[in-house]
Amino acid sequence: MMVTTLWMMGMQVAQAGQVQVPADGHAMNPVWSPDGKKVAFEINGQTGSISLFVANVDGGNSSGVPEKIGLKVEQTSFGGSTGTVTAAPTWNPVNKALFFEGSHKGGSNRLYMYSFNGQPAYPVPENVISGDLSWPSFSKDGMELLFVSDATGKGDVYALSLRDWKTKRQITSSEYSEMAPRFDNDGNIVYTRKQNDAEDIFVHKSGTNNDWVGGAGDQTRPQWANAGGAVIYFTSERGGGVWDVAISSGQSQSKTLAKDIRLPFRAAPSLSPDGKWVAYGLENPDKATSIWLTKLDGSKTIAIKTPHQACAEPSLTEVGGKIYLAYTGLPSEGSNWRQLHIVDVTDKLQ
Amino acid sequence: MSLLPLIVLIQTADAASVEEEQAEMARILEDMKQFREKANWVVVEKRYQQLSEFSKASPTVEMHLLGAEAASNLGNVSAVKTRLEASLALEETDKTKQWYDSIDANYAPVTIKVPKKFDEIPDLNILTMPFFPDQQLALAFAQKSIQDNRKFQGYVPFGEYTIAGSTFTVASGDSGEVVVVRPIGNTDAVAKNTKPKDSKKPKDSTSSDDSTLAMRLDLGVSAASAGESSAVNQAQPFGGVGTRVGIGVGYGLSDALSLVAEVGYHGSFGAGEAPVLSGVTSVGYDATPTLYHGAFGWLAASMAFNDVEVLVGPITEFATIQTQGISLGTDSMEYSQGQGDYIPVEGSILASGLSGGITYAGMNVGEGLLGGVSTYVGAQSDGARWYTWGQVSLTIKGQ
Repeated sequence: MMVTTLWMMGMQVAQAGQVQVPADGHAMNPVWSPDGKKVAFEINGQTGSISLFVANVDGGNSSGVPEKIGLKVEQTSFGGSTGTVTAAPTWNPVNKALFFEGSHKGGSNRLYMYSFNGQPAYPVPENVISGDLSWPSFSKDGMELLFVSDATGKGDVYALSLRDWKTKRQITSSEYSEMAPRFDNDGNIVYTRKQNDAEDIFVHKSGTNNDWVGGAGDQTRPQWANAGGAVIYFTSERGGGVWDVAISSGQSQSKTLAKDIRLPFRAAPSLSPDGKWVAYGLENPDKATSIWLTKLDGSKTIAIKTPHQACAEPSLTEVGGKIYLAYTGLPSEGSNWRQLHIVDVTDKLQ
Repeated sequence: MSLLPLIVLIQTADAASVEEEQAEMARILEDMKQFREKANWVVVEKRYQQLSEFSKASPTVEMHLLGAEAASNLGNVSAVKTRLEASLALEETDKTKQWYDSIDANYAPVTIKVPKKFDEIPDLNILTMPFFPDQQLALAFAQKSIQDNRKFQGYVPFGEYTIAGSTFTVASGDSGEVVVVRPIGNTDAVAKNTKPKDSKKPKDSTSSDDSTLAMRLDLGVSAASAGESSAVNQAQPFGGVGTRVGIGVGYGLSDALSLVAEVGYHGSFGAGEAPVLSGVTSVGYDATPTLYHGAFGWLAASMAFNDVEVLVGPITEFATIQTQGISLGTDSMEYSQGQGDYIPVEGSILASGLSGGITYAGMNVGEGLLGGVSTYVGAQSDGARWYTWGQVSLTIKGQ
């Protein structure tokens, strides 16, 4: 692991540990395991393949070569070695198993579970739910898998019981595409629906699906905040291809927390372990050497200065009272590939 | 013709045969991969089993790992373990070793038997369904095996199980529990016998081999009769009553068919007859009781019909005998016919023949044991006479 310490513009730059990236490509979408001892991330080689890796992390330092989480298809003569995508890692909050999307050339996009015991990744059975599967997430107790399937046309939200891997509930059945579903602690579900060329946020509560936040542009990748009392999401309502982070504390309410953020490749807004902060990167090159955190009530914003460029895709975890931030960034301007870094930000969030 | 060309020809033919088998196995491997893509694990499993039919070429690591994956997706953890062992024997990789080790970290071997007294086979349930799908599949595999065969021998995930209203726990370190299901209401509803450590590994459950060993004890009373000898100067026919004790094992070949092997003791006793003839009493003859002490060995085929078992098979018995009376030839000069009936005779015999019987064992008499009654008959010959016997006994046998 490489450790860099830099001083820039009189500010102390956080000591950032670099996770060894074992392949050429952009490191993307870091996602911490529930215990903060592993971080999953993607390597996008820009050749049609995306590979999923998991690095072990101890005390903020990654150890060893990250493990590649592959599909067996890569070893067969049918899928070939190219065109394979393993991405969108999501950790089961209780059993520490890693779920992810997987596909190969000519095949469907399916969800897989990897349990780190040497056994090949286990697919969500085709005879239980067919079609392309995406956007995996979990209920609070980890026993229900929420995802989107296009089995009956456009994407609909389903919940699959992991108690038997058979019992499923169809949450939505609209003529539109639903995406990015997430449970709150009470079992309510927030998701987005793409209709009339715009993506809006809906909430499934007490068996009914209701509009939550709409408006101009896309409102996307919602995440429950304040244990379910509010929804935080990305919005492009200002147009011009710019993205903001906003929070909605009630139906049809919204408040912008940060503007001109760098939209993560596929992640939802990243919250701090205590749920009080949202982390993001900014598009402005002058500000993109930092990861920024804003309190959900909007009262405070801080910068985590880094020695890297174009910082983005922050992901936060807490281990033993320490708060660690994983993010991706370019080593320097004009570098080929984004790298993955981990930094201790405990002091910054006091 | 020189031998050298012949040897070269044979070697070439043999090499070609190995190559042919390897080519066919490679084709089967491609088949396995194709069906794996479709998650058709039943076909992948069948193709893997076809690989064992080849005699000259051996499966590769990739074949064994695909076979293990198929077995895992069908819930057959015993087969997963066997195939991973085969893979590790060819090439030890961290991932394969990790997978292999994870089996003992999450599963334990167990044998579950449902006696035939259950008209309806009870369901096996686990108190807390395991999260991981391979463990759920292993449970489903055990459940189906019990429903199909009244028996499961293999690995199940750790947990607390219920069957027929009773509970038992499978935990780390278990080395092969034997669980015999009892009717609801039985206070000792589920019996657990720990097998020795060396029986830890259950058989690959894909095998049709359903064999098990179970002890057997017969303790009874018997009556025996020795017939007329075809030879002269042999003991006269004799008989008696006594005891017959046998101990052995039953080796289950299938759910209904088994082999029984027993060794035991056969004692038969009868009173002698005091002489009354004048001229015999005067020379000191007295009544000589019949004392028959035999050791037997019996091998029988057994067919079970619910709680009733029918057995038949060959038997050999060695015995030392004391009895009274000798059959004299017409040209006997030494004894008169009257004297011969009172002469004490001692000797030994080795007789072989056939023995069979019926056992009814429907009572639970202990952990994994059934009790009941048996009746046996047998007929053996030492070449000169027939020895016949009958027995009624208490029988205790393993389930």
